[in-house]
Amino acid sequence: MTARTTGLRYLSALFDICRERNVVDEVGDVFTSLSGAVNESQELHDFLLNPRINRNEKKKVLLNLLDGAPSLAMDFACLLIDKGREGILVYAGEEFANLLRDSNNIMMAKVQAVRAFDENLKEDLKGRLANLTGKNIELVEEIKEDLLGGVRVIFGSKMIDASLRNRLDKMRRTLKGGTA
Amino acid sequence: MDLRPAEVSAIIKQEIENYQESMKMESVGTVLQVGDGVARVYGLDDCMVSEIIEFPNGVYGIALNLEEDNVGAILLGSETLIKEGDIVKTTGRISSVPAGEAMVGRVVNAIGQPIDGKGPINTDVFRPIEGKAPNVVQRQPVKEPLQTGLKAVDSMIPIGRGQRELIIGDRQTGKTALIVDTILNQKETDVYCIYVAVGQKNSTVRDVVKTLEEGGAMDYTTVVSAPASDQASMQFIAPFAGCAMGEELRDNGKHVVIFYDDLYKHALAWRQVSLLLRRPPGREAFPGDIFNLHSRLLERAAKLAEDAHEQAPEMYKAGGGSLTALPVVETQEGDVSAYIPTNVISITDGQIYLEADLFNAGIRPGVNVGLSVSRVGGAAQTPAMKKVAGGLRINLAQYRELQAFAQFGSDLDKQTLAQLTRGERLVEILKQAQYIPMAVQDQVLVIYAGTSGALDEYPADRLKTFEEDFLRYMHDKHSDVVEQIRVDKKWTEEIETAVKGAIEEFKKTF
Repeated sequence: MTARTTGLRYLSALFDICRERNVVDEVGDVFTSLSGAVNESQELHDFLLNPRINRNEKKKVLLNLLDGAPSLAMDFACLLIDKGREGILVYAGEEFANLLRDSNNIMMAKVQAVRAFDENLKEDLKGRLANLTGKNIELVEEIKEDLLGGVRVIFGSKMIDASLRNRLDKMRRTLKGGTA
Repeated sequence: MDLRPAEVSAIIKQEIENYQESMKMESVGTVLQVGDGVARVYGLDDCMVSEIIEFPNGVYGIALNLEEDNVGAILLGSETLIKEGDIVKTTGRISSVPAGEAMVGRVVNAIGQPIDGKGPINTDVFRPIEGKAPNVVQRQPVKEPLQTGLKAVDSMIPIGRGQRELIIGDRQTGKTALIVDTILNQKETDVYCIYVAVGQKNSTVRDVVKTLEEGGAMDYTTVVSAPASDQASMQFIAPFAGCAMGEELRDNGKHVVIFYDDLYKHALAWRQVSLLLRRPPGREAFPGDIFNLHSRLLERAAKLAEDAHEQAPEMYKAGGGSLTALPVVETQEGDVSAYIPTNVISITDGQIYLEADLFNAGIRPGVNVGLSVSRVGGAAQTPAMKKVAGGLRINLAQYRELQAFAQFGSDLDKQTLAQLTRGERLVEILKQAQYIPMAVQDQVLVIYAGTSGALDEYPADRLKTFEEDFLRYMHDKHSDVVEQIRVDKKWTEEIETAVKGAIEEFKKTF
């Protein structure tokens, strides 16, 4: 069990309700900013996650923070506090966005290269990945010097490693005589 | 081979130019946790059980736990080369080891890599370590003997080709010595040997290999070594790797005998790995599948039917081959009713029980004939030995019962005294020194001398000399009789008469 298993269960329940009530985007935005705030402010993080602070105090603080947000978001946050699962707020934004992407048949793909891509190349790559996976692709770029060249694409739990580093590693292993 | 520098770099240049590699989509995951020889990986959605997965820096692992959102794997390399966050790939392969004739004469580790410094192993045969045991129709009953060369074993606890016979006893009772003698005895036969050392001391394994080399046994033996210094994952795999190598020869119509020394350490390694993978502990903290661990290993020892290759050509290349398994279990304080010993006893087709008391009293091999049994029995004995050693067991059993009265010496009746004398002589001739396994025809002669009463008149301490001189006499003066026993393997009336006469003659000069 990873640390996020419980959180994912809570969040997918929330997501289902949001879909029924058609407030997915609004609630998603709320948690993105709330999680962002929790991660950026050490004080807020420590305050919310401290088990010795009274529940009502925490709820009061959240009420202030989430002023103007849909009531569903507020209810969910309070439920988490009641159940003692405040820790979920740390990654709620990220995982909710993942659920949203899944439901919209969008897959996030990470592209690692030694230098930035130009637009044409990016569109080309997006198209090919879309064909491969049958989903719409959202591309995230990352610069990684140690690839030495080429590109590595990671999407879902699959990877296509066409980097120079990988090819050199494979070559070294084949020439030396691999095992297992 | 003299190495010419230009030639070497030319070859490498060629290999680089012809280097073919294709880009493919791989299934990946990230390392969540690594330590104690075990790693947890997040992702790897389409990983399968027992699949090899590849960590960075050339480390491989076997995926054993497929959980809801992570995969638990045991590492087959150093965990210091892996860290949290590393990318892990599936390979689509099941753990396999190199097998075939190229493995004969080599000392390898649990994954088939050579550790004897004699260069790489050139084989293109790889066999998965887990395999399906032959089913009922693909087998035939065990009918050929596997000669250990030890009188005490071959006469009363005979082992057949395709049988599983457990060697069980406390520490320092001669279990490994029995194994070494058996291997040395396969010299003039068509039997290959595989010795799997699990959790042993490196020095012990070195000694065994040295003894085998000196005895010329390495020409037909493979040693698979996973000593106590290896990780638990390697110790867990070693018996399966050895079994896979044996199966490869078996499925090609050859005869193989494999020794697992010892399965108790193997069980401990599996317990360690299972607990680290957080599998629920059972009795004595062993995992629930500890029985299956040994039963599936030992079930792969079999005598194949002559037409096995016609029944299942994709599995067997030739029929009639056999794989005999001699596992070893070390007991604590003679407790054969402990968990692992009882498990393995119920799986094997018999056991050879070595006792510390007998060993210390000078009876070596310290085989407790009463508790030892071979469930294949006479079907795996040459007819000559079967005839001659028929009454041996009963004689010894009766002797043991009467031994308590031996202190009263002169107060016993003639029959009891005769029984005691006979028993004493029989025990004496069953003793055997290390590293001199005896051919079956010689064993038959010596045992006949004992059971026919020819030795009763001599004191027990002269019997060793009698045995040596008698055999020398038989080989010099009556080599035709010896040869007849060796070739025909029968004990006819005329042979009996001839041997009886020879004994009489010899006694005159002794």
